[in-house]
Amino acid sequence: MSHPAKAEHFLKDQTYAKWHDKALWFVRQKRDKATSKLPEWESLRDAAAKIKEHTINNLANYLEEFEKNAHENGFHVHWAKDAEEHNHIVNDLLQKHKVKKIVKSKSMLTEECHLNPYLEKNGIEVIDTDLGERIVQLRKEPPSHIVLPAIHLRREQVSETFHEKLGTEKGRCEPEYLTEAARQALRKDFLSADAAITGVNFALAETGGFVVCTNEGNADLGASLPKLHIACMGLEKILPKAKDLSVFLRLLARSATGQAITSYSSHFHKAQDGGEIHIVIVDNGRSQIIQQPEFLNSLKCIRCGACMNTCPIYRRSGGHSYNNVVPGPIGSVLAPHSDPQKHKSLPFASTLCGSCTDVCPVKIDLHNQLLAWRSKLTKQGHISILKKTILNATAWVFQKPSLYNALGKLARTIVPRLPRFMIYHSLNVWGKQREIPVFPKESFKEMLKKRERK
Amino acid sequence: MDQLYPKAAMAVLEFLEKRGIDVEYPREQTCCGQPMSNSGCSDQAKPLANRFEEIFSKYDYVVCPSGSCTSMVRCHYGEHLTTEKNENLKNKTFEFCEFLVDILKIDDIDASFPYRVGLHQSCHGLRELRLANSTERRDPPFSKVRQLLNQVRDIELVDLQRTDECCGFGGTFAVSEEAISCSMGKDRIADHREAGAQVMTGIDLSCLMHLDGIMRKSGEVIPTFHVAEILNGNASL
Amino acid sequence: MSSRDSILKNIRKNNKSETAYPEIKIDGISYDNIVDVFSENLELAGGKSIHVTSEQNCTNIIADLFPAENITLLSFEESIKSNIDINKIQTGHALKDLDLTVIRAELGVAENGAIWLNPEQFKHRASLFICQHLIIILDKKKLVNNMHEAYEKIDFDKVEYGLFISGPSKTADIEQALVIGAHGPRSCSVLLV
Repeated sequence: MSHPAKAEHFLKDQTYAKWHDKALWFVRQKRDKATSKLPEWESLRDAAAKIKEHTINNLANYLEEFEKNAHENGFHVHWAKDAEEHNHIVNDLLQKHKVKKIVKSKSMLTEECHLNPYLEKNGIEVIDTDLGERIVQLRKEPPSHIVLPAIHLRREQVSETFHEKLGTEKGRCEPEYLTEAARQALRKDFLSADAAITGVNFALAETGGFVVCTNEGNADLGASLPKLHIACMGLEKILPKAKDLSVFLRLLARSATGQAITSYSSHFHKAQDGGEIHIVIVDNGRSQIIQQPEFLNSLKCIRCGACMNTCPIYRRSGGHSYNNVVPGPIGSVLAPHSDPQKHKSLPFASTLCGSCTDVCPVKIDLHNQLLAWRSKLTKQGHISILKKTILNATAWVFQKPSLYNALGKLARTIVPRLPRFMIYHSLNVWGKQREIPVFPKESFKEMLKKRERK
Repeated sequence: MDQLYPKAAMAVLEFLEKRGIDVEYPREQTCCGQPMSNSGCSDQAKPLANRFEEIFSKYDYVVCPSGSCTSMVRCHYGEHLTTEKNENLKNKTFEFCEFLVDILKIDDIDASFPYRVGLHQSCHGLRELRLANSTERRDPPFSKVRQLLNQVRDIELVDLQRTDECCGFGGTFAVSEEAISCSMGKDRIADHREAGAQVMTGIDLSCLMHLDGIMRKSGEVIPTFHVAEILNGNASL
Repeated sequence: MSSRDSILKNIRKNNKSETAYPEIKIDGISYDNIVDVFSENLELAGGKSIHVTSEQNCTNIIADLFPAENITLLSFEESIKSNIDINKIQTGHALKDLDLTVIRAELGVAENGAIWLNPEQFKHRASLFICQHLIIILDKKKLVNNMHEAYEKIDFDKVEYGLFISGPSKTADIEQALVIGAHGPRSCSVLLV
């Protein structure tokens, strides 16, 4: 189903849709409050954009530097050209270590590769430990937001799921009660896991280390108990120097949730005693994006989710309507690379208002990227013939001013005289919830002619 | 504007003429090509961009009472015109309010409008032309449109909850994502209503047309005017 | 060709390489009342900020905070005594019933109430997360204004597992309602000495 169809369905329950919109707007407001405290906020964004641009332009060198230094830290480094290879590598590692159960903290990369079902098919139990991810995992549905995976759910829905799967009291839906229940249940999973998988927020070329940021402490608790820690990262997560973190850590949490910093920002540079850390660097189409200058900026993304919170369309249609692991504006820019036919409605699911561009901590010009996709998808033939015909015809009329004037006069003469049923019918999509504009008697050109005669 | 909102165009013309500006309205003009460009049909926008350049490049200034059209010329014509033509046109094309503030430096508007007015900040004008600071960014506050409206006697600009959320028009989006488009429009209208606006104004008639359409369907209409109509003293309830 | 080599080759196909690392100059925020701002931001992050006067000692403060009998306490701070034997702990799992962890930090950041820990002194990283409550002792003089100043003080050659901790573990994943105490410690108290 295309985005418009899913969005229409989402909006049918107006109370719910309003609640969803308010919930995400609240996160945007928290972001505004936090960023207002720093007079240097715009300088930070400039700095981050420049660092990321430089990094992308020198990416191969920095990846090699990262690998070399990671090896010196005793890390094992693997490279996966696509999702399938990533899944193989992770599964092989786990099988080699006789792992039966893993705990996994939030990693959009592993979602992108659909790692969970792959591992489960190979007999490995996967427990997502981020509370939001655990909730959607238990409900067997995808996350709807990259930072707030369960933002689309009411507490009653979580209560129902926990009652069914964790044995909580029926009908009890206080967040504190439900969180405590999850804490107790997941503690058992942390303690019985054979391995931990985490994502990577930032990988440092200079030191060969990587940084993982959480509020729940689940990544660290997971990585500190079992001996095997696998960290999966998209290759664009590299930063040149450790001090770059001072810029990015100041931007990340403020943009994502309105916090000055997450509860934990862990810098892994050595495995714990007797432990092993494996890093899997994943391409999965990113090196192709590097070859497309109009989309290069999208690789700067630090996956903060601010563009989703601010997007008036995302707030009124929900993450699931994008049919992609990463939804919202950045999702609409990334998704069509992998499957333009499937995702062709996404770059059009926007008014190009530019709010996402202004909110992005690394200054990705998201609304321009969406426009670039519209042009590319049209050239690739993914746009409907009807739409193309109408726009071609209109453009043709616009090149013939006398015809344009004549048609305008015709419309202004006839339309106001038409009975309503001829104007408002199923073909008139504008007319479903709106009146058509009032057609004036005279056009401006006609008014000017009159004025000149006087 | 020519076909649907001639009164707003007349307000722009009269305002400039009263300031002694030598204003011409080239009769051959039709469209800047933005609807084509925004829909991804940039090939169809190209001839319209070239046509626009042919018609307008000879003037000292091009004043456009539409944030979205001005943004098309200043920000997106580079794809369609030669560098030289594009630079020349870009540097002299202004949205109406920014022309008044930045070029004419108007500070003595003589008009009265004793009503509570909700200012809808159209997105292209706000975030592409930077007519004001956007709430997303941490810039010092400023607003060229407010600066002009505040000169109007007895006007009261109301405080909205979301001062720069998009109205949902978005060109073909208004039809292709009709449900969201109208949901966004209704939220904007509710915001203005709750703030006590008796009138809604803005610099882009496409936004106002969309909002007006929703209101007339519901039967509860807050009158809408282009900013030029208020500044020129044409707006009457 | 290995995946590694083909990936690097693909990237290099369009890399405009050899552009210089950009010159970045950020005027990081600074405060007149750095201790107050740190405390304020720590509390905003759900943590507790406790000023230790010279008359009190940390052991007493901790006993006041956690008066219950039979609290298990693991301390990595000289002046505070553990009541479990760290030498008997083989794995992090053995700490599953740990109530309190006490550790000294060498750096704190006012802009976000975070402290930097570089726990080289103990092998059980889990002790920072598996405990129910975390207590951090920090010398007020070790506070800096912002993250830029903080990173200048960190020597990554000496870091094996370093982290910023700001407050207790928390989540707002259910309807954006903030709940303190997710998977890690339920509370985080910083004793400012």
